[in-house]
Amino acid sequence: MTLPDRLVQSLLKNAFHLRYPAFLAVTRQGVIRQVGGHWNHYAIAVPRIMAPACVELPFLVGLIPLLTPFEFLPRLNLGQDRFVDIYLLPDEDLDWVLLVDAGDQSAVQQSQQARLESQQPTRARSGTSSLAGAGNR
Amino acid sequence: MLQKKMCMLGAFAVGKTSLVSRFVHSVFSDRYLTTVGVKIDKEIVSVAGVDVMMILWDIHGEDDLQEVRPSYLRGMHGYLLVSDITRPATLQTALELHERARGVVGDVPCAFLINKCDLVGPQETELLIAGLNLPMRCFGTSAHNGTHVESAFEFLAEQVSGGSTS
Ligand SMILES: Nc1nc2c(ncn2[C@@H]2O[C@H](COP(=O)(O)OP(=O)(O)OP(=O)(O)O)[C@@H](O)[C@H]2O)c(=O)[nH]1
Ligand SMILES: [Mg+2]
Repeated sequence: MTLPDRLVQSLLKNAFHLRYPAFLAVTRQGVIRQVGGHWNHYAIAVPRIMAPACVELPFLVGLIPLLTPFEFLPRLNLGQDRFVDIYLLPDEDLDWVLLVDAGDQSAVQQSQQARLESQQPTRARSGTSSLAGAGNR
Repeated sequence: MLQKKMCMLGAFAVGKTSLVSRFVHSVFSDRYLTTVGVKIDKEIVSVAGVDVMMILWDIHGEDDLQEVRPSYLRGMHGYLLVSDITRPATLQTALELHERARGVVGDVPCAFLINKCDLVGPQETELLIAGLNLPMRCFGTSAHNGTHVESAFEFLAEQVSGGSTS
């Protein structure tokens, strides 16, 4: 499917530009060739051109060089509860890495927590049922 | 420096985050704060005199509404499967995640952690591990008091880098 230009432009402006995109291009040998965008927004030092990408951004270890046509990794917490969504796209002789702000996740956190707490069969500390069998203590 | 990606996999609230906190920061908290997405941490382990940087992916717990995405597992060099000794169903979840992980990365080193063994006691934990007959190395751990936490992470570091820790 090809989106009309008008939609693409609008998506870029509204969906991505508001989310502080930061990107880098990494050669298949793992060296950073190009860098741009809002790195300071993520409290990450701007990755250095010619440096090994996995040294500058350790979360890329194992992910590049990219072996699949596309990867989306939502909600990576890189520290200080700063969440980013990561997109990885291969190009001819390099891989593109795009970071965008995943927003404030505290609402997601709270609802997930409430749901999980209601699902938990026994409070961890109660010890009433165990893999080892109840009543063995 | 060698860098290796390792994932923590298991059902919700089994103690994945607590195990990482114990290993990396030597701390434990009673408070349950569920993990959203993935929390990434680093720790350097010495394997046969060589420093290995473990990039630890503490992935949100698996439950009915939230499956672990294959993209999170891509390229991992090893993983720890975590279950909770007080919740038998979490053993099954960990084994299912094991199969899924193999589907994404093939046969890479892994170990099985039966966590919260402080709630049961060492003898029972040992008996249980022997009885489970798992096809991989198994550790009875406690993020609460630290039992076997370091050994489990170091075992994995050793396996992924093909040496022995020092
Ligand atoms: N007694 C005991 N409690 C533990 C242990 N490990 C974790 N807990 C408690 O179990 C609860 C869940 O721990 P977490 O580390 O947040 O579990 P998790 O697997 O990361 O949970 P999700 O992120 O929701 O998947 C917390 O209240 C911890 O304090 C342990 O070894 N012993
Ligand atoms: Mg967690």
